[in-house]
Amino acid sequence: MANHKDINSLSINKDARAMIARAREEGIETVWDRLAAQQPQCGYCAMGVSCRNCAMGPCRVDPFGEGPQKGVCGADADIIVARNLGRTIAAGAAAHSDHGRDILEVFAELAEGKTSGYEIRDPDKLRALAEEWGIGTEGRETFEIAQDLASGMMEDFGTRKGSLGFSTRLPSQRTERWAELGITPRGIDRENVEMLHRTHMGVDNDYVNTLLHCLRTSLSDGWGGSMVATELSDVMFGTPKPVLSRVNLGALKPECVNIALHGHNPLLSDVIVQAAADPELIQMAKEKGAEGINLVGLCCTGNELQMRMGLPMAGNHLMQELVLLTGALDAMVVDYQCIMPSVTDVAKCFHTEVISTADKAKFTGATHISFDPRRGLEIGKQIVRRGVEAYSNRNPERVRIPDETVEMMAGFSVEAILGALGGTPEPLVDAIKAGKIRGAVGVVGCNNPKIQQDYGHVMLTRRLIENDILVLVTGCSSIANGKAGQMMPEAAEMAGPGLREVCQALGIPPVLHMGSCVDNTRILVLAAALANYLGVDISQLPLAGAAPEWYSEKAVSIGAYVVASGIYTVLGVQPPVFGSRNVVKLLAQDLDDVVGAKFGVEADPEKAAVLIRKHIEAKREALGLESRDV
Amino acid sequence: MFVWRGARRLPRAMPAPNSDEAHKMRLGRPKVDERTSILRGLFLARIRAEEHASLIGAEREEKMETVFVNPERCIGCRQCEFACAVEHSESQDAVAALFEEPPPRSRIHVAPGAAQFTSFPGKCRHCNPAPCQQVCPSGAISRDADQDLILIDPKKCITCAMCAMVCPFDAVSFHAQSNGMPARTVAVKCDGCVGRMRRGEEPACSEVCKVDALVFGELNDLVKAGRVREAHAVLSAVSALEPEAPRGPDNVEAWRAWGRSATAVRED
Repeated sequence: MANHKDINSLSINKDARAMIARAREEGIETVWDRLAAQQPQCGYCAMGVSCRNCAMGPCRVDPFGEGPQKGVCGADADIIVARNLGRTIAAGAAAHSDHGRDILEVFAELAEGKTSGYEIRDPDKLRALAEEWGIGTEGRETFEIAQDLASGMMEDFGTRKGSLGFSTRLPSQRTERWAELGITPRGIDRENVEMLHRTHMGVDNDYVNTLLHCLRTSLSDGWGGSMVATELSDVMFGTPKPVLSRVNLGALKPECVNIALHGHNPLLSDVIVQAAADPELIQMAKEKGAEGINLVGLCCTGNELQMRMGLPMAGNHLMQELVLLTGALDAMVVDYQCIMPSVTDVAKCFHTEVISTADKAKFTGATHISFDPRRGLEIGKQIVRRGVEAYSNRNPERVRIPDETVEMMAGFSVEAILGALGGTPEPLVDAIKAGKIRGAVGVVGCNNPKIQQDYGHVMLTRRLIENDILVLVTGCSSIANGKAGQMMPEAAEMAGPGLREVCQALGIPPVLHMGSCVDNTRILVLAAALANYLGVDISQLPLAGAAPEWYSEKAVSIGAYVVASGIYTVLGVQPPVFGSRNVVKLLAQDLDDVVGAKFGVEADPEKAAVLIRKHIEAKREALGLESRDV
Repeated sequence: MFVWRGARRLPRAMPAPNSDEAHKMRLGRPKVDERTSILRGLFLARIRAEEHASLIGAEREEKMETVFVNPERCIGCRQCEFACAVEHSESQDAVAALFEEPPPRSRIHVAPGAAQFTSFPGKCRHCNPAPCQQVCPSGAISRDADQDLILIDPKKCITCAMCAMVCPFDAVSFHAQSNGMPARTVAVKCDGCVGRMRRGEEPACSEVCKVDALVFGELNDLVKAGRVREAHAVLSAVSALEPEAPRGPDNVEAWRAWGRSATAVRED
């Protein structure tokens, strides 16, 4: 089904618009065409009142209240919506935590000296983590410490410890609240498995109980699997520091072999960066007429590389098909998560080779090169070689690179932010107390073709910084804001007077790039550090979260762990819960009394900004700080 | 924030398909075979001769059974499309139908509205007089006298598409069918589930619609129900007692409100 919508209404970006126009011209199907073909989408599913968990079903509940009100088993709308939400969160948490496990396993092999292409680039962070974990470091070899840390973290995935190692980072008020509610996560894998058990027919038939376990499951991701991923990636690949980079489809160079690294996990992409510097491969590229090998990032694999090495970024989620439409991409190397099955179809219209690398994520139409950390560098070189070979098939007449890149600053780990502040959160706290900075908001999450691409991220962020609110971004949001020019120190000019002053004094942008989507844990760590510094709970701080364009199950898990950690979160896209007014009431209202935070839903970023500003001023007032009327 | 105003429920257009009430209604209705087709034909011929649009005669009114659409109820699940395709397959079995060649297709089409989360199930309205029947050059389109349905005879259809051109609802499609019909592309549209109707059953699309967006029943009863609904809304607006009286449950309205907002939101 053709999609006749005005191209400008699909994306705010010049590069995206040019490539969507090309797709239409050449009859190449993209995500927007498929969304149009899916209209109208099923209202039962969109409201969360359909259930296919068992073979007495499938069932659905009439949201108008007159048709069937219960599934065959007797589950009403509340139970069905809660069960569905629970499974969504379990899937999202599983994705993050399995990513964390993959990193942990390579880290464990590295500690035993069995890998090729890996090293411990930040031994200081390793030692700091070991101290936190109660592992002795005094007079011990780095690899010995790493072995103990690896086995300590592996215990977190199991059930023997009964709590997570990183929970010591939280203010005691928060952990006590969790204990009262019975939502302290006990093991990373355990909560996901228990969620699948609970949502089997005839187990957890109380929607409140299921929703509480939703929070516990998400916390096993945020303070467990994702945090393991972030912290160990820092140990192995380096803790990010501010670095200049460039963004958008202009990152592709017509004169070079272009290889895009797409997905989420830095394990393979880091060795590919090493492999692409191999003189033999560069020579091979030159023999084929290219000037060199140009690596670009896509999505969160791109974020991982950009924040550590300044690797240029081709784009976020909705750019993955459009990057192929430039005709200038020779290879797309994918690991896992958010990689549309359609990329191999679009690639067929060009010479681009799609190379899958994770045995758990294969693609029909792609070349699979199985990743093995023991032969990391060798496999990295093999992949780059295929990209160089594909370059020979490129048709220069079909190359269209639509735009010049925009400069952006990346790499604000918590360590880097505290470093910029002089090693303590005090200057940030002082700026908040003085009202120069009203508060901080994490604007995170994906792209979703239901929202004009990047409009939600860019407009919400702009309205927040204009009102002196510091914005922390990860994932697709960082790429959107980078493209909008909001992530350079000069963008302080766009900020309100107070935030502008602070940014100019520190030489930082008003929008800080904190990494990939597993790196939302950096925002949690920063929030906990501020709360601990002030001796208050996280829920008392003038903070908020927003996911203006989310689409994935992982984003639901993130939203839930952010709220369960005490931070108000506004979603730009509606979650499938509106079929149950009780579930909506609990999430959008009652949770505030329980965990000190709740969800809001608002598609319009201008209105979302007002909701967030009101919330931040209310939190300021409660803390006895000067507050404004919004 | 979310207050359930139970009293604001929409009046029900028809009893639920499998309820006792519906059963009684069916039993109480004169059976088709109680009338001779000759008499029925003569009756219809008289009606046509006098005035097509004059449908107020008591006997006519009694037979005006149709699938009525409540557009505000449609949530776009497309289960009517699936049920229609299965109903018009060779096997009439949901699994086996998937393997038939040519694949069975739906004759009801759920089209998206302007805003997200709005949709309308469009199908042949079995007009009387029917423009398609009037323009069909090969006499392939006729009115079934017993069921008062407009039917296409695929054997007579010459695929000229005149019917599609004059159809006010774009309800006619062109494709081959699997259910024992000629293996060539012909005009295809809703046949009102004529086979089911002859057996005293309701059409497949309204049967599977669990939100009452498609309701089968006596036309005047359904229109009357709509009139009552309309009157409630108008009166509550006029009296300003409930100026923001919702058209459906508040949580469903909240769900739709996001769709409207997301559809409108964009950079200028």
